[in-house]
Amino acid sequence: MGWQKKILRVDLTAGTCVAEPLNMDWANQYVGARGLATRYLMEGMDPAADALSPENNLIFANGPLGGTMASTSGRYVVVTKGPLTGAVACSNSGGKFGAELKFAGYDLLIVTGKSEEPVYLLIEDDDVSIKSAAHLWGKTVWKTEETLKAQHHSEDMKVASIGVAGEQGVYYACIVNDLHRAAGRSGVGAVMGSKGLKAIAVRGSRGIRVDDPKRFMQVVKEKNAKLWIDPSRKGLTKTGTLAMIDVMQSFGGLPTNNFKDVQFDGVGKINHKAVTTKDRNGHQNLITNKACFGCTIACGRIAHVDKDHFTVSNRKEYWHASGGLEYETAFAFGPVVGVDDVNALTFANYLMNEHGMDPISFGVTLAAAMELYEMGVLTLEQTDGIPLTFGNAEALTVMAEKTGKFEGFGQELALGSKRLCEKYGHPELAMVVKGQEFAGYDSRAMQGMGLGYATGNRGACHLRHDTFTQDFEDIGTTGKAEACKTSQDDVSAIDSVGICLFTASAWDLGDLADQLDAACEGEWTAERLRESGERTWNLERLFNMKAGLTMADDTLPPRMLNDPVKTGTAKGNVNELDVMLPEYYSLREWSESGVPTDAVLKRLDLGAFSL
Amino acid sequence: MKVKLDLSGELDDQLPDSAVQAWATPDGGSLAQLVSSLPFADRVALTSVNGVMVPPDKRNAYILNDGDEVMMLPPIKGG
Repeated sequence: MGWQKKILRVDLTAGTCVAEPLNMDWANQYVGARGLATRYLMEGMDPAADALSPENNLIFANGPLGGTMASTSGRYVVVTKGPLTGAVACSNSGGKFGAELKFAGYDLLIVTGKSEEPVYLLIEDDDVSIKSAAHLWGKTVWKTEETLKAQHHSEDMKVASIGVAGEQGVYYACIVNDLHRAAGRSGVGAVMGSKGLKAIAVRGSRGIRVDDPKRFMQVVKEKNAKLWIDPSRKGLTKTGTLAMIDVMQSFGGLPTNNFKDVQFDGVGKINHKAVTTKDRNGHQNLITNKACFGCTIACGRIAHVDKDHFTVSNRKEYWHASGGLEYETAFAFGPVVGVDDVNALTFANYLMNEHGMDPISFGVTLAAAMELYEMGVLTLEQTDGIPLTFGNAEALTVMAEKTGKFEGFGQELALGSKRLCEKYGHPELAMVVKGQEFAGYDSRAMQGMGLGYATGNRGACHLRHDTFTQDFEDIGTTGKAEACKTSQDDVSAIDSVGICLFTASAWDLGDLADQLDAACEGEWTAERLRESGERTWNLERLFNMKAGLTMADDTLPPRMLNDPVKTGTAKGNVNELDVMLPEYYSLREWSESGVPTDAVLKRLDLGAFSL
Repeated sequence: MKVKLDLSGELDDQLPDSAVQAWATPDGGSLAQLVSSLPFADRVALTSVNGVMVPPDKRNAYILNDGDEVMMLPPIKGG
């Protein structure tokens, strides 16, 4: 148990909703969430299909620990083919939506086809219906959630929806649940919009059965105690991830002005100290922290914008608390675009949640546009009269809103960095891998991070591997390939269990296996989980290769490979991908051109997917 | 002798500025001795001296000099 052993298939073309048993053979091999959804995706579509066509599948998936009393069990994933990358997309979110879907009785929700008219999906346990969303189309995420809760007289209803960005196909549109938690990366919201699906509203009343309740409660208690005393957990509770901005500034890996620099003079105005200190107007940005379902970490931040700030002084609708700055949002609205106005950063974050867009991709795309503007490639006339200069807080917030509403130059920013820079003749300025924008770590200062970006199955991402410790301890390449490969497999396993990656500082795979073993039938060990993670990683790789990607996509922008970093611990370094990549392929038992060999496919029972 | 501390992240408010600027440590002392003397030693994950990272297993052998700049990072990961 742990699983509900049931999935829900919704065919929007046919207008049908059908429940069916979960394939337990696949569950035993892929566990749940990321792994299991990828297995269903591989079965359900041609990887070569257009990501924004009806042929794409959109899968919402829980893991076996999702919705249980295990800590951080509110995580769910959205798996699909990403329009931003043309690769497999697995976007992870917290909040309460995922657990509610499981309480309604479903491990996975698979959406296929396309509705000719806008619709939303209403799930109330076994009662599932497709309803007209004519009154919701064109509304923001926040308005959509408010409208659905009022319409169904249910404050307890959990809603995942898209804004205009998703409707209009902004390449990095996301799916937002619970107002400010998001399946953020790779454009999963654009896939939802392409299907005419505005929202999913869920009410679930069922519990989740576990195999050995008494042992499960005891194991969870032990693991929670271990998590509680962990120094990283304490840090995340106190400061959220925003503390990382001081670390990256000190280390010299904080991407600044579209990755031209790695240290930012304005960091003291946007760091944890800044958001917890009253400014000269007596305004303190941070209000409190917040936890997702079942979480004992509570890294989430709740903040508010100063009412006198230029962004909201005449807009009372924004005089409320909402999601505050985390490291990635602070990086994406701060250093990488050169802005040090904490209220502008916070307002930009509001806009991302309200309109449903990935902050990382938006920020890095705006940074590329700013570099194009400062080079003279873009003009004031093209940018709606807004000077796109690094450090311009007004440009940040105005362009965030224009993109969210798909207006003016926002329609250009909606393309993402790769397509924007190609359109204006400077593809080298796009800080992307496979079309997806870098996160807030410079890959010249952090070699392992660069390898993780380059080999990431969903493109550049900091959450698909974990080489932080190795990169901070050693600026060279030694051991990075092995650390990258091993952690990719481990993270794949963690993402498949249905709990949060932020437990990983305290819990190893053995701790997860102990909880799974009590919750689910069968015997679960760390080794079995790691093998499952490796299987998932290889299956994602096979999906991408069937979609047309090759080893040529396992690379970094020329700036990372050729331009030495100017300051910081790794001053003078470039990323030595050419050293690490062959070793990485070898460790993965892939050919020299990055193709999984028959031997590894056989070992992982993936022979049926051989290229 | 005195060294300058650079405390990042959640460590940044653990000591007054005056102490951070000139932290007294015994002449000829090691980096490991310095870390263990701090009230938040259990939260120091990574260290560097004058911009060069010093892994935990090398702290015992690393002898500090007067005026060294010592950076300390808490255990922290992405997000």
